[in-house]
Amino acid sequence: MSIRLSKSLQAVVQFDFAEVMRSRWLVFSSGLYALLAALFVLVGLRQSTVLGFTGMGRVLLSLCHVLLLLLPLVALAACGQVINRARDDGTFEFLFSQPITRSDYFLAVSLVRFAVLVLPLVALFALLAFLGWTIFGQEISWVFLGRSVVICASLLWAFVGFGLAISVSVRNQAKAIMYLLVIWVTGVVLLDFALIGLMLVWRLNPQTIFILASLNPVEAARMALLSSADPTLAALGPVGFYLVNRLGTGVLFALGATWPAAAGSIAWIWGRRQFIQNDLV
Amino acid sequence: MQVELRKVTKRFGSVLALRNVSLVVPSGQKVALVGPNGSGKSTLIRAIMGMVAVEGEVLLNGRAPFHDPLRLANQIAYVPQNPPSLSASTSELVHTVSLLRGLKESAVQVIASSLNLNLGEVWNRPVRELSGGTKEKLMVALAVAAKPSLLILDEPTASLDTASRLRFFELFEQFTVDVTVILCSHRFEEVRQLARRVVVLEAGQIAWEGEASDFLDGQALVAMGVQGVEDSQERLPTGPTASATACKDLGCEV
Ligand SMILES: Nc1ncnc2c1ncn2[C@@H]1O[C@H](COP(=O)(O)OP(=O)(O)O)[C@@H](O)[C@H]1O
Ligand SMILES: [Mg+2]
Repeated sequence: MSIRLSKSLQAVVQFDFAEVMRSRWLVFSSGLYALLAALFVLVGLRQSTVLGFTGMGRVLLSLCHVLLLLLPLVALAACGQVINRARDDGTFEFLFSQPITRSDYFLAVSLVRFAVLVLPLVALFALLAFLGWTIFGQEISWVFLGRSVVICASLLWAFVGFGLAISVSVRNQAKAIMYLLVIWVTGVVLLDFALIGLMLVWRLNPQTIFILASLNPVEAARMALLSSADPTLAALGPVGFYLVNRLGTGVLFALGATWPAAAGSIAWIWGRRQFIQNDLV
Repeated sequence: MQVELRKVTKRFGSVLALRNVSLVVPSGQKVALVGPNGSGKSTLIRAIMGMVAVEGEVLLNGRAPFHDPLRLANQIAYVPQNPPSLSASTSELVHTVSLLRGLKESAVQVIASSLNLNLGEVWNRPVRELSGGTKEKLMVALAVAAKPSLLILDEPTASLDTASRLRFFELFEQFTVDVTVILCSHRFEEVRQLARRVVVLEAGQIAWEGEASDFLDGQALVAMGVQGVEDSQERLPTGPTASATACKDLGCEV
């Protein structure tokens, strides 16, 4: 029995991995990462001629900002149409007439997509550390790199979960894309300054704003990431800055590392349930 | 494998695709589901495959299928009405199915070639780029190679040319001796070649069931009071041509 189970998981992992290798979002995201690495070098070189490169931290900070925008988008692109597309194009009718369980399929797809999102990111960070060290002669702190990887992985998992939940529950692919965009925009817009704006417009009290801020996985990741790089008001914005001072970087890191992953897991569990209980076709 | 449905009902929103369908297909029997488009044939098959959640019970070998789904699934093969439009290549597909079912890839190739499909020629091509007939042959080859005890065919020869269809019938003869077969069909010829028993579905209900030969003689039409047949009972359609004409009223193609 256990051999059979692992066979079904293994077969779907192989099958979906091949599928991912053909997909456009992978090319897209690898291209983006390569672009980021190139930008990092260019900006770094520029700064080093001006300032004698004291600004590594600053470059990393900009990189973090860009990643906070991109990672949710890439994860949604990777997962937001897996299920509904396979349902539409007859893949499910074929696959699930084979000895495959739905829970194995869902697990396999989630693992493959998550791995393909995280591994290039780890490679990117390693590359940056290497470039920083060889080209600019500055060591990037391993603690910073480690923390960043953990936070980014957590953020990716959040959006893997959201994407899969959408692709399970919204059958119409065009509609699903719309929902995915709404989720992404909400995630990346409902950040610090926008929250302050909301507070002013809707006269929300600050407590509500802080709770809203930490509930948004992107903001949770953002505060954690930025506070470990540059815990200043200018970098963090007022909400983040307040929370750093209130909670400390340790708590913020813990929040940024766990909350997005937890939110993603909730969505994932919900999506898996829907997928197992509802009609396949 | 014995298949039993007990008062199976399926709703899609306001559409009642199956109403209270009860049916027993004994092990080894070959039964054709016949009926016009939208009468619920595919839905009935998906209910048996556990792909749609239904009210009522579906029992395989007398047990609910969730009991040991993987072991059961290994004994069931299915040729869907619409082959998947996968970006995966033929080789990936054959490899995946072989891995899942513990088959030799060469076994699939042998069966494919008996259907006039040379897998080598399409080995590296994405499945979705294959012609309809080629996809269908590939699906049939994978299903037959699995040596199932329940074979479900949803309009299996719809896009095959005449020669390939004949080869399919031969293959079927050879490989399905003790196999339970459930066939959905629009085609008179398929029913005649493949089935011993016929179940006519209309608007999600069983409208008639009986021997295939009786169905082919047009008795189903009389019993159901199909328009134009009842009016001319004395000129009851007999013989293949007449019943074929009448069969069109049931949505069959000849
Ligand atoms: N996934 C679905 N969602 C909504 N309605 C469906 C779905 N599948 C089938 N139906 C409806 O159920 C009825 C039976 O369809 P189907 O079983 O495909 O018929 P057949 O195979 O006999 O042509 C049709 O009215 C069809 O529109
Ligand atoms: Mg159908």
